[in-house]
Amino acid sequence: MAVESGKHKGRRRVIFLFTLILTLALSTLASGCWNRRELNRIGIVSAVGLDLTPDHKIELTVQIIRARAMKMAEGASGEGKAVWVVSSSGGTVFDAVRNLVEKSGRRLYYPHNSLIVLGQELAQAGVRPVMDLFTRDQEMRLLAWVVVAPGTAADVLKADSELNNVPSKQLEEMLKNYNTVSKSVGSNLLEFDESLLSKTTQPVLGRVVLDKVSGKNELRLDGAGVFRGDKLIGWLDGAESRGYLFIKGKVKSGSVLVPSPGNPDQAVTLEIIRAGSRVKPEWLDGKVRFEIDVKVEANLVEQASAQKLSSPDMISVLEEELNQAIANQIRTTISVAQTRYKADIFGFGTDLMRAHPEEWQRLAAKWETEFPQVETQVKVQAKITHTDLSQ
Amino acid sequence: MFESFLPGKGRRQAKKNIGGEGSGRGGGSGQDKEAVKPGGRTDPEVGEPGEKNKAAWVRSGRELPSGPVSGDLADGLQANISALKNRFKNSADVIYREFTVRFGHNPKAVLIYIDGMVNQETTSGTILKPLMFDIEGRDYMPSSGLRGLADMADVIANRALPNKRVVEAKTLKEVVDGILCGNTALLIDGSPTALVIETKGWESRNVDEPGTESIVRGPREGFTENIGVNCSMLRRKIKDEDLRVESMELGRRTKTSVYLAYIDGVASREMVDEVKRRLNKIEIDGVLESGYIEQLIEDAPRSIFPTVGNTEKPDVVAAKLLEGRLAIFVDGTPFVLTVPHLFIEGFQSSEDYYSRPYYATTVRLVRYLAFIIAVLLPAGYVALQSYNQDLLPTSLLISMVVSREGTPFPSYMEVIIMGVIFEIMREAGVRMPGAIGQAFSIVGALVLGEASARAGLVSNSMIVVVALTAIGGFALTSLADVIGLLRLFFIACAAPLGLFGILMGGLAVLIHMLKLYSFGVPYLLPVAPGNLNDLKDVFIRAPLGSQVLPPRILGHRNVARTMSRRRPPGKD
Repeated sequence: MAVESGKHKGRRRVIFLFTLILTLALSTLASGCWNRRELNRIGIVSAVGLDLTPDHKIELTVQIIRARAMKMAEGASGEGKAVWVVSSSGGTVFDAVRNLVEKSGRRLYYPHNSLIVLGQELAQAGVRPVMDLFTRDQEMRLLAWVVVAPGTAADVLKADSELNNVPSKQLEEMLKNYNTVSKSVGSNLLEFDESLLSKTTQPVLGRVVLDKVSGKNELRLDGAGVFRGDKLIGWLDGAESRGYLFIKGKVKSGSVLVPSPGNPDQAVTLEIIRAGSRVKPEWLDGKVRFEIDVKVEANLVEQASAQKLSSPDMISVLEEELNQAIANQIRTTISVAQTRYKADIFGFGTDLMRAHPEEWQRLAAKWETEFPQVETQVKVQAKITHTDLSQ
Repeated sequence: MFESFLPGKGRRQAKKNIGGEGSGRGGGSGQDKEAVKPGGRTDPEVGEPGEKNKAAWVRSGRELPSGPVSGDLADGLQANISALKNRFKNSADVIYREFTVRFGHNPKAVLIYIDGMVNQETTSGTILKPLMFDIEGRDYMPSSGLRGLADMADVIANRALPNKRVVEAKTLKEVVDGILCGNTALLIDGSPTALVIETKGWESRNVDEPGTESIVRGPREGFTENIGVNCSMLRRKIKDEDLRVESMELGRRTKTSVYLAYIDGVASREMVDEVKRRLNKIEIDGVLESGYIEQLIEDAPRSIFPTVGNTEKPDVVAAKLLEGRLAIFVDGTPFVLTVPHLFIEGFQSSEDYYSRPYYATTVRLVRYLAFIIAVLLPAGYVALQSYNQDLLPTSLLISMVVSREGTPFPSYMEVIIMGVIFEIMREAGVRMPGAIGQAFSIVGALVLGEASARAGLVSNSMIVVVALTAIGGFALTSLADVIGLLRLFFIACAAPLGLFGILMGGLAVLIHMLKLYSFGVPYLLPVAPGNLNDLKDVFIRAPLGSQVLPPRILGHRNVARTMSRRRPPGKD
């Protein structure tokens, strides 16, 4: 560079500074178009429902939080619901998402979406086409819960909630605590995607049932939907779901009713405190057998008779009954999966692949026909640790 | 002499008493008074042992811009008086007291002083009285008798005046300067020399609790506007002959006394020289507060970060000197500068060292938290509101949406509006007379309260944010101005770019701070460059027993602070 005079240099510096300031100032203005979204200009979506319209388009239903109504609710005037449930349809999910803006006016904001409800018809037709956006888009959260409804998803989202002014929050809480009852399955988008991608394990989703109670719609989490590939093929009821959860080691708590020793028409309630499972594939004479070991710890929490049950003898009798009850549940679930649905919902194929990779190579291609025939052996070791305050 | 000094008496002389009782202390203290040569002047007298006192006391170097006060004193009294009256034109407060000395041949004499700057009792009791009444000659006359008029002044100075300090002046300039300092000049008819008598004494504030640095535990006294008083307060804390107090005068017109204090052997020699060099370079007409000097000697005048510290408390100054720092006292202000000043000093409080370490550590961590809140909360709020809503818990987001619903401005505008309102209130609160305080706080609570949210101007959560920010800022008064500026900067970063902007802005600030030095010491010491030993007094306040070495202010001579490493009993 040529030698510059001091004056010249000073002027260049001023020009440089001016340009810098101008750039910064203009970038502030430009931000309006880029990514700034003021809270009062967006609609926060708390739940999404997906259905199939009669003409095979995708119907998207969303629950949008109505800040206005919530502000009113604080003043106890109670103007309308806290959420607005609105639907739109389109050829794809994104198309429907965009079409929704025509109705909402505000840009809809999805990161706080915590629930995806799949309608039965859509689930039976296959969910893979609609799930792609939820995995691909950066606004969607992989931690959103996914459930399947026997009716339409729109009806589920329209149902009321008594505890929460945002109904989907109540459903979210039910799903979070599914394993304290252990009669349904809570699965988030990440887990669901995982099982969708697996070649052998079939997805299982929680089922949300709508009950009509004195004119109001009540939501209930009950049982689970069984998929093969991306298509819904049937349901598991509450007990069968618990069997499934035992095998997967996802039971955290829940009650088991066993007949009271001595007077079998009266029930003793045992509360599961802890449960764990281990699935071990055994290779015997060219055939595979799955050993399912379940360990359960339980408390005696209630009994109808006046018998003293805290003696070691009685406890061991109760433990044996608990063993039987749990083993029966597990066996029932296995037989349902093997005979009714012929779907490896337990991930046995994956277990086998990990334990015996060479043998798995032979079975992998024909696992779908092989699974219904595999032998299983269920062993339950129950332990009753407390009888609480009474004998 | 320090025992005899009572705070608030205001009878201190400015320059003399720093090093102890002058001649009484011998050679060691002579060095203390060695004057720093102010820059730009060549005064051969300064620093010369023989002329030392004179040089330090009656300055004769700098020319007054209004014309030279040159020339020696004349013999005739009237000539001198008219010369002085010419100097002090139109100055009603300069008093000329003419009288007759009852001594020798009873010459005419005049006392010249400035009303209000001298102690009247001293002037009348110790000057006028012995010269007017008591002198019948015999007590004061040397046995050899007076040898002449020149001898007269000498005899009076040595035998008649019991004042602390009497200096013979031969030029008009010396006399003028002495009078301006608050001394009294005695001119005797026929004598070629005048006497400048120490009579300083003016009204000053009592030693009081400092307004800016309140504490719960620790000494309550704070510095006053009187530099002598201030210096003596330090002396009483550090009774060590290695405590050096060097004197100089800054300000062409104000001629403000400035003392540089340090402990020889603890402060590094290079740093003392550097501070002196920078002080000597100062060319200014007036120094009214230590802030003038601070701005003229700081390393980074264009940075928002202060690289010179200030305090109103003698115990703080003493602690800083013991750590190897230097203190600059300026006459007329209770704020004493300390250098070098590091960033972490804003987070340290004298009370940290007076209370036990666990709680002190907790409080110190809370201070860092308060700093982060005060600097980053509004910016973070803007970012979370306008860009990064996905990072909030849903229920918090919902309540924020609810409070935002119906407000007209974007969040960064809200933050700026509320910040400006708060700054206006703070400024008004500081300046306004106390009598309207109650009305002010009622109005303030309306503006910065629910009323403005009800009116739909700002959201409720914004008021919480602004209030929290304000409280955070109050927790760190010494960093208040830095916090205010950084807060604005980060809001400016967050408004267009969200959390990404805050991150980038934070990096920029960090890089800037890493570039800063305070008198050769890296500003972020001891965090960067790191030093494990000194980190004992940064985020935590380690027990005193474990802080064996003083912080590594450059060049300290590794003097152990405490050898008594305390251990629980029975473990030794």
